[in-house]
Amino acid sequence: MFELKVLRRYEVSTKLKLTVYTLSFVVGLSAFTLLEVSYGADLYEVISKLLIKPLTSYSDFQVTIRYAIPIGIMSLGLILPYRSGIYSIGAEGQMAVGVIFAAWTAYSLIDLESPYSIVVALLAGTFGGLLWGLIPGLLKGLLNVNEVLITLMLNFTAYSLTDYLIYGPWRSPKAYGFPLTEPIPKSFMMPSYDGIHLTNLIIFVLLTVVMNTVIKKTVLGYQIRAYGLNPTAAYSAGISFLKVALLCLAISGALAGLAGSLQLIAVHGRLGPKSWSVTEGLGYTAIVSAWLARLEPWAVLPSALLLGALVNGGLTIKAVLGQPEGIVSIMNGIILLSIISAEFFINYRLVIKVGR
Amino acid sequence: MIDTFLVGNFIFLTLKNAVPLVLASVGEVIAERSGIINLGVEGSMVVGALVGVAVTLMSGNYLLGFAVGGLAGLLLASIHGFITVVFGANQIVSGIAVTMTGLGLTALLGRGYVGRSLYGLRPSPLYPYDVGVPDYLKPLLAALVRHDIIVYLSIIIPLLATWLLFKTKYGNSVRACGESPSVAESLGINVILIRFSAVLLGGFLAGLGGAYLSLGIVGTWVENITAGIGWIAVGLVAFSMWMPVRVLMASYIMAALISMSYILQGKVGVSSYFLAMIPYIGTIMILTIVNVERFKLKLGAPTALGRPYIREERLG
Repeated sequence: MFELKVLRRYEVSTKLKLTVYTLSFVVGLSAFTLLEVSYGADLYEVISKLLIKPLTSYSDFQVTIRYAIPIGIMSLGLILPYRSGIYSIGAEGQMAVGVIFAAWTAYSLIDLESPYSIVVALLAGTFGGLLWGLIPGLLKGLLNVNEVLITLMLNFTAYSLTDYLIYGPWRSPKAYGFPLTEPIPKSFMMPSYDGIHLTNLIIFVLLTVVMNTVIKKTVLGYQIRAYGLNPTAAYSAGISFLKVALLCLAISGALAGLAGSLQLIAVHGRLGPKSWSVTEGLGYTAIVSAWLARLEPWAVLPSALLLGALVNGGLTIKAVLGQPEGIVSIMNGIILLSIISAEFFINYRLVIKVGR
Repeated sequence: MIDTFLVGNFIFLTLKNAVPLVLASVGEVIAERSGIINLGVEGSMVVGALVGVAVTLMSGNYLLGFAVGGLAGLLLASIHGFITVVFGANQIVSGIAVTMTGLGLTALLGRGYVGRSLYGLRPSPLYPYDVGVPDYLKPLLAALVRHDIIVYLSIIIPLLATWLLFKTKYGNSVRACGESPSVAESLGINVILIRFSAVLLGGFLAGLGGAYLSLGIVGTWVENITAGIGWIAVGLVAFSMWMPVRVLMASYIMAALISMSYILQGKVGVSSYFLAMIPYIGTIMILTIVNVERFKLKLGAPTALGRPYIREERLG
């Protein structure tokens, strides 16, 4: 007879954590690869296109970075609510609203000169995301309304708003009938150096440092972590839940709005539907990136790079094998499932007893 | 004089649109009563919708498609069940991940089915006649009687679920696990088994709801067919205060909003893209109102909702 016992580990070494996390990521990635192979793809081709080329070939690496920056910035934002036990999945919608706000400044302030125009667009985008984040922030903070559902509903609403603009008032008459907007003026476009938007990259790295400090060194960070660890105790200690919920969701919204406006003025330059959209579902990938980083701000740097590579690789596979957008979503889902399962193997060990 | 045709059409659509919501929400009530939040409902629904269409096309029988769609929803929910019940992983993140996986998988596997016609295979009305009624009232009568069997079955499901949860031994165990898993365990209830089965049952009902969405309402497979219906269904659970019978009322309110967003198209001077927001904004408002009420009445969710239970943790 077999008997499976689950025993608690009381001391967990960093080495063990790292091993289990890496393993869980590999398991998730293998499951995805297996799915692709069973769908008729060549194993070697999948691995090379998914992970190796996006990180080693320079031209592919540029694209990887292009994805890693918005994913990373949004992950940094999401870490705040996640650390306080608030589960926002609203980055996608907040990003979309940020894009709309940034584009609006570009279309209405055409004559603005270059460095100012970019600053204005980024501020507007950040503000748009912040507004979209304030809604769940207020509802959660005042009434404890389920933030998962509110943020998701706001994502759908933001999509509808974008659709309204690109099929309606903002639709370009010169786009051959496609529902695309006019390209934003040249003065609003972020300059790039050798295919990499250095300014965006610097903003991302600086934000990583800032968020790391906020979480670990500030009173606010302490209060956020207190709510995440034990909400009852945090409440009894007199920490305002309204303040924590509002700030966490507003800041994460602002960062998503910033990511959206950066993506608009650096990469896309115009709004479009579905696969031409500025957001490209990256707001959902950012959730995976945040958990892959184990909600550690500094760890977002490698995790966003990795997910940027995977999104890039996934889209290449999609194009080569003629698969739909959905494959990035499957990849996100499977990897997320495997990394959250890892927690169990870190905290418990399985003992198989044979005989009795 | 009211336009009976318009009113009839509105009632007809509302009764139809409520079916996926009723099925999925009742399923989620059962899962949450056992203490497990399943945010994979949207995923289970979308998988059920695709499999429902595929099996109906293959077998030529929509009832078979409907049932297998339910099983597909159950299969996806089993991932969530395994990860949250056995591994005790974060239920919210797991549900989101399951939904991502479901949406992606169906986008990949459903490409061959996009727009495939289900001509002659869709659920047909049980009683297609409306004799002996003045013409003026015909649309109103038709709105109530010209439905397929699943619409009428969906009204019974919440009653069955109420009986299951409150009158059977299994239901008692489910609720015990949702209130206090450690007490349930000490009463000899297998918490893991009960919670896992409740999640599976919830996934099955969500799959059925998804299958009705593609077979009964849309009439074909479209990528992302659910467009948030599953999430709305989860929202209705709190609105119903975890009572299956109240789910019925909540679903009709929501379905009325969804139907309104169709009916008003072209009739009012508002862009259809703004009308499409009605269900989403409606959900936000409903959730807000219910929380104001809950604060007043102090009615709450199952006490252990969202808390993992691992037997070895009892003493530690």
